[in-house]
Amino acid sequence: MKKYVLKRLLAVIPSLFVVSVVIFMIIHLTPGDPAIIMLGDQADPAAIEALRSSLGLNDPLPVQYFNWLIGIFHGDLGQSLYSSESMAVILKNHLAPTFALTVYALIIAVTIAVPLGILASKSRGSICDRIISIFSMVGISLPSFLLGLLLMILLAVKLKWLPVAGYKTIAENGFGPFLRYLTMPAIALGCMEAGLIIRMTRSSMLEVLNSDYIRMAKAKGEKNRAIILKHALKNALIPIITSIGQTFMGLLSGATVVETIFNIPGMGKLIITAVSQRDYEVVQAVVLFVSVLNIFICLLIDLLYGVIDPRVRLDD
Amino acid sequence: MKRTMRSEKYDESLEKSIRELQREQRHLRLLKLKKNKLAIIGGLITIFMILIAIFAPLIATHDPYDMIVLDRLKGPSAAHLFGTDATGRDVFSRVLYGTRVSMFIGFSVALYSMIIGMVVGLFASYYKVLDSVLMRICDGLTAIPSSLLAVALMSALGASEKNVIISLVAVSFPKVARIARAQAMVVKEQTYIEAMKASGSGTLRILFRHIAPNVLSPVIVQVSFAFANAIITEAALSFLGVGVPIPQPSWGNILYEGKEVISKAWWMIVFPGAFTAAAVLGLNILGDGLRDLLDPHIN
Repeated sequence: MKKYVLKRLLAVIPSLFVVSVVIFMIIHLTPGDPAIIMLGDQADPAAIEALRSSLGLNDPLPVQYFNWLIGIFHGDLGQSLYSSESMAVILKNHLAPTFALTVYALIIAVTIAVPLGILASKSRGSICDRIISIFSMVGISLPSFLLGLLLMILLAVKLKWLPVAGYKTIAENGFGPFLRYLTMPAIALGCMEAGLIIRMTRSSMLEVLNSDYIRMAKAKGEKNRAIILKHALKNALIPIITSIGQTFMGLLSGATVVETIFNIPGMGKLIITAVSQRDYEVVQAVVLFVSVLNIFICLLIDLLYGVIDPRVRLDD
Repeated sequence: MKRTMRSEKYDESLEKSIRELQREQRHLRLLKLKKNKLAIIGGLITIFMILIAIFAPLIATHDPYDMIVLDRLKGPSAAHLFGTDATGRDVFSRVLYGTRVSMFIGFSVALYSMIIGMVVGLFASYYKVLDSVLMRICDGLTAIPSSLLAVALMSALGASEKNVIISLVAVSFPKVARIARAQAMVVKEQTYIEAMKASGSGTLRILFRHIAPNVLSPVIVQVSFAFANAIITEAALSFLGVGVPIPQPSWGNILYEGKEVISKAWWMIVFPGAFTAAAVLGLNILGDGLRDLLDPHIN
C-alpha cells in the first residue's frame, strides 16, 4: 500500500508542472502589455518602462516562469488590478459558494442516479430500464446552463416557487434561504452528472450481476434485495466512484456558467468578471487554483480505490 | 503441373471463402445497424442539423441581422415562427444561422481533434521517450477543467470563431490522443506489424498506413462525443460573452440575449435551447450507437 501511495503521489508532480506551464503560457499569450493596462494608454513611457522592469516583464520567459512559481510557493498568487485584497483572500471568499453549489449538486446527482441505475440494471430490457436510459441520455445532452434557464422560466418566472437568482449565506440568513437560493442552480448543475452516473451504475451493476458468485448467492437462496445491496453493489462500486470522481471535475467546470446565470459569487463568477475586466492575474490564479484542487481530488479518489479494492494495490 | 493447378484452385476457393466471409460480416454489421434504432435516430438528427446548417439562407424567412424595432419582443406567430428578440430580429432565422455557426465549429473541432489526437496518440504509442512527455502534457491539459481552460484561452486570444475552435481543440484532443494511444499499443504488438518491421517498412508508413486504420473505430466514437461537447461548450462560451462575437447569431448568443428578457420572452430561450439539446442528443446517441457497432467487445 505504501508503495502504491508513493507512486501515485509522485505522478502528481508532472501534472502540476504541465498545468502551471500551460496556465503561465496562456496568460503570456495575451496581447497587450500588462504595464500599459495597469497605467493606462496615456502614461509616461518612462513610467511604463520602470513598471515593466519592476514587474520583471523584461526578463526572459523561463526566468519569469520560475519567479512566478517561486512566488506561488511563497503564497504569492499575484495581485488583482481592481482589489487591494490579497489573491488568497479573494480566492477564499469565492470558494465557499462554489463548494456549496458543487457539493449540493453532487448530492442531488448521486441520490437520483445510483438508485435509478440499480433499478435499471435489475430489470434489464424492461420499460422501466428504457425510460431510465432515455432519462439519462436527455440528462447528458442537456447543457447545465440551458437547463438552468428553463428551470428559471418554469420555477421562478411562471410558478414563482423559487427565487430567480442570487446567493444567501448560512451565517447571515440561515439554512432555509441558503438552500432555497441554491436549489435551482444545483439541480441544473447536477442533472447532467446524474445522467452519467446512472449509465455507469447500470453497466457496472450489470457486469457484476452476471458473475458466478452472484449466481451462487442466488442458488443458495439469498434474497434479491440482499444480493443487490450486500453482494453486487460493493463490487460495482469502483467504476461508480470513478464516474463520481470525473463528475466532480465536470461540476467544477459547469459551475462557471451556472454561477454566472444565477449570480452566485463563486469561482466561476470571479473568473468571468475578471475576464471582462481584463484582470489577467485573477484569471490565472483561479484557473491554477481550481486545477490544482482538481488534481488533488483525483489523487484522493485514486487512493480511495486502494482502500476499497485490494486488487488495485496488487496490480502495481 | 498437376500440383500448381491444385494450389491455384485452392487459392481460388480460399479467396472465394474470404470474400464470402467479408460479405457476411458486412451483412451482419448492416443487420446490427438496422437493429440499433437509436443509432439511426441519432444519425438522422445529425444529418438534419447539417442540412439546416447548409441550407439556412434558403429556409430562413428573414435576414438574421435585420432589426425591426416596431416588432420587438413579439411572441411566435405566422410572420415570426419563433418570435422576435429585443431589437426586433427574427428568432427563427437567427436560430437557423446559429445552427450554421454551431455545426461548423463542432465539426471543425471534431476534425482537428481527431487529426491532432491521432498523431499524438500514434507517436506516443510507438516511441517510449515521446510517450511519457506527450501523455504528461495530455494529463496536464485534462486536469484543467475544460470550461475554465476554454475561458482562459478565449480571454487571451480574444473573441472570434477561429479562437473558439482553437480553445475547444485544446480541450478535446488529449482525450482522443489517450484513446488512440491505448488502441495503438494493442495493435502494434500484433504479428503483421512485426512482419512489416521485419520486411523493412518505414516507421511512418507502419504508423499511418497500417496502425492508424485499426485505431480509427474507438477514435471515431470519441470524436462524435467531442463534436457534441464542442457544441455545448461553444454555446456556453458565447453565453458567457467570450465565444462567437455578437451580433453574429449563434445558439449561445441568442440564449445570452434571451436571458436579459427571460421574464418577458420565453421563446428566446426555448427555441435555441431545443436546437442545442437536439443537436447534442443526436450526436450522443449516434456516438453510443457507433460504439455498439464498432466495439469488438460487444461483437
